[in-house]
Amino acid sequence: MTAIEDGARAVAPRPVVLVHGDTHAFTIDTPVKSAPTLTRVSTFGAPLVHWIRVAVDPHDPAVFAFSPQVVQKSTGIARRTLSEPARQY
Amino acid sequence: MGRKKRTYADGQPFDDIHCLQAKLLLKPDRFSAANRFADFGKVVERTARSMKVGAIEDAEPGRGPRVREVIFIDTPDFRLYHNGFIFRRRARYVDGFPAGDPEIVFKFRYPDARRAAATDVRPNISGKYRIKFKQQALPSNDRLGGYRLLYSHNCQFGLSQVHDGDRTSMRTLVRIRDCESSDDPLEARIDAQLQALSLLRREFAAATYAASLDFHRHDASYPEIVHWTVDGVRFVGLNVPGPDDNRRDGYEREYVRRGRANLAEVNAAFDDAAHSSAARPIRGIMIIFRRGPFSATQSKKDRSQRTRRSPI
Repeated sequence: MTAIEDGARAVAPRPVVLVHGDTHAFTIDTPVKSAPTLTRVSTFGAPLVHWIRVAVDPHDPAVFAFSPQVVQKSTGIARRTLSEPARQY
Repeated sequence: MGRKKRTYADGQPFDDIHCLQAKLLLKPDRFSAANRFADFGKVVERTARSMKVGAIEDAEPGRGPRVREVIFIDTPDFRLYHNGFIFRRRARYVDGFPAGDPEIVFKFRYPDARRAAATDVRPNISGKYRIKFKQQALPSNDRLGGYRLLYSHNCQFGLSQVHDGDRTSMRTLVRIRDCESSDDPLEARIDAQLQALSLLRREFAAATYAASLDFHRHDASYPEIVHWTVDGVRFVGLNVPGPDDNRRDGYEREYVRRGRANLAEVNAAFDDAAHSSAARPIRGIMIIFRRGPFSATQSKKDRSQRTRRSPI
């Protein structure tokens, strides 16, 4: 993480995105205050098996745009998670 | 067997041989119709009885042949088979259509009984499965006459016993833990895991992608650590497994070098970005790996205070 945080600061304002799993909780935020161009995307995981669409536009300064894609079959629990407050998109 | 009772990594004693199975391989040329096969069965039964070997009566003599599809699964160069593993899916067919629950069979077949017993073939699934450990007598495969003895240690389960999300996951279907290579269960487990890892890595290294992706693997030792660049956007795929990056006692020989390879790939991405030219700019970087690097509380505060975490 040290290398990624330092690297993100070094190449700012260009965006750096860190995609990880493990937590099974969908999250998009900028968790490191000293590296505000570092965005973390934590992906869905069982039992909420959904996915995240990443649009990449190299001509947009933000480059990356994310939109969670809900798989209808597991929406029962998914709606609750997606509507949780305090998530930063 | 040694003096002490040998066990698998979780303490369960090695399986004992359940039965002897003698197999006869038949050429299909003569079986041009179902009744020819039934006739052959009668010849075998007569011969068996004359040798004082019992025969089980056919409970449904009038019934037609049952058709079963068996798909053997292997790498393109048969690495499973050449290492004694047989992996297949069996499905019953009725009137030309698949019927019932397909069955997965995974077996380790080896001439040495101890080694066959030591290979833990229990599948990592939550559903029901059966373990069979058989001594098999088979015709010699290199000459006419004679037979060879093998030990077949297998697990079988219906596909419905596997969690939906797991059906395409090899790692979930089979968990191979070979306890033969060392008397230390932890060392043996690590050895087996590293063997499985190198098998996976060979698979990774074999996969190719479109040249337009400008796709690079870190090196032959870590083919899963990759980067590619499209339209000035760098993507980096690392191997940082969850939940602890495998940073456990005894696993140093796995994670230390892998950690260096990950770090080198991260540094290379930022170096390339820092030194990118106007002609070939790097406009953004996306780094992808498995392990969640932030805990819930850490994500809420500035992490400028370094933790004891790995460099990645």
